[in-house]
Amino acid sequence: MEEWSELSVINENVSSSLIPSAQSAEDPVLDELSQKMLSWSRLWFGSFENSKATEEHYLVRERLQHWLKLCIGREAGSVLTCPFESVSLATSTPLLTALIGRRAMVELSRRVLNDS
Amino acid sequence: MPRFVLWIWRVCAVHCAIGTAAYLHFLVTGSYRYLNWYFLILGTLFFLVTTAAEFFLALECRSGFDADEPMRMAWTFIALASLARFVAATLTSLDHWRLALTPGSTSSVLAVFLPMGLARAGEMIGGPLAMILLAVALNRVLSVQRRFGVLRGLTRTDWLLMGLIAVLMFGEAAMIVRYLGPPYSPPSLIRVILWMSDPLLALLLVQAVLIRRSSIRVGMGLVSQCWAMYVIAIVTTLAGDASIWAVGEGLLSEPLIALTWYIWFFAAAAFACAPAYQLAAMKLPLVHQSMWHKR
Repeated sequence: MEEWSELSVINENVSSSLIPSAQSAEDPVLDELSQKMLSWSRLWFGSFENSKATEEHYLVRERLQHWLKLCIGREAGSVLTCPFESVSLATSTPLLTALIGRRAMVELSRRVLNDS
Repeated sequence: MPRFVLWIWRVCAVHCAIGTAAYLHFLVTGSYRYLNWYFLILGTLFFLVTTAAEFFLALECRSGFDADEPMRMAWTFIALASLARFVAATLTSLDHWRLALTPGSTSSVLAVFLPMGLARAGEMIGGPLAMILLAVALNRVLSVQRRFGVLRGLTRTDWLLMGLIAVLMFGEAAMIVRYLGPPYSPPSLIRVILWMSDPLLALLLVQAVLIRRSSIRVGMGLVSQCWAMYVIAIVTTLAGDASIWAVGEGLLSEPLIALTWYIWFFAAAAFACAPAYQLAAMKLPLVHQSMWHKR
């Protein structure tokens, strides 16, 4: 569990350092890639500290909470390292993978991220 | 409720409804005729179907985990335990048929070809062997739960319940020791193995109580309900076991004895439902097409 919080810190550092480098390069492809990576990492780690959470972010969190309740239980948040309201794929993936398997978790992540 | 679980309970309900009719006939007439038919034909069929379903569903759950995942091992042992129960149900039913056909016709094919100790072998495979396999599987589940902080400590009631079980186990061990003395012939290996049934059942119950505590902690999702079903199955088996002891001690009247035979159907249904819940949790992301927005 500690690994995920460490990763979250790393992610924030990497993400913030990615933006200026992309901007300085003024390469539209790199810039787009950087933005996508930043967006996906925010979706994965569920942290919006230095940015505004979009509707998509809220939807992803709601879908994840729905799946957690469905697969594990209403009080699944009690065994995660973060509060249930701010649960993310990063914090819930290890537990879900252990209980439903890696393959099912890949499908579940797809549902969480792509269901429209 | 998952589709498979619904089907298992539907079949169980229909089966028990027919069983109730047979039991009422027995109560009114005092004749065992329909009750015997019911347990011999439909009862046997029910055990074969539920244990086969349990084995198939457990194998499906196992295949959902990769070789390096810890729950794969747990489901391997659960599949083996269910296979042991299926083999036991087959052997016991063959023995019942052999006995049913023998009195009327000495030339019965089953009576000639089937060995005498089928029921004993069935008891051993479906009893201690299946229990050991299930205990190994539940131990694995507990270690996974402990790793993720799901496992919760025991309450006073749990300690009280387990203390009671320990007292019963000591009582039973003391009773067994009495029969090991010189006036009695030395027990056979099969008998000694069968004596292990109750301690193993007590171990399973302790594991089940621990898993149940964790399930309560996280709420009753599909995975939690899978383990809750194992708790129900183990407690029902314990109730069935206790009824056998009560019958042996002559504590129950004739109508009550016949009623206790029905306990095993609920245990078999609960055992079959458990992997069905797990499978539903694993398959749901695949079939859950945009349900989120339909709600």
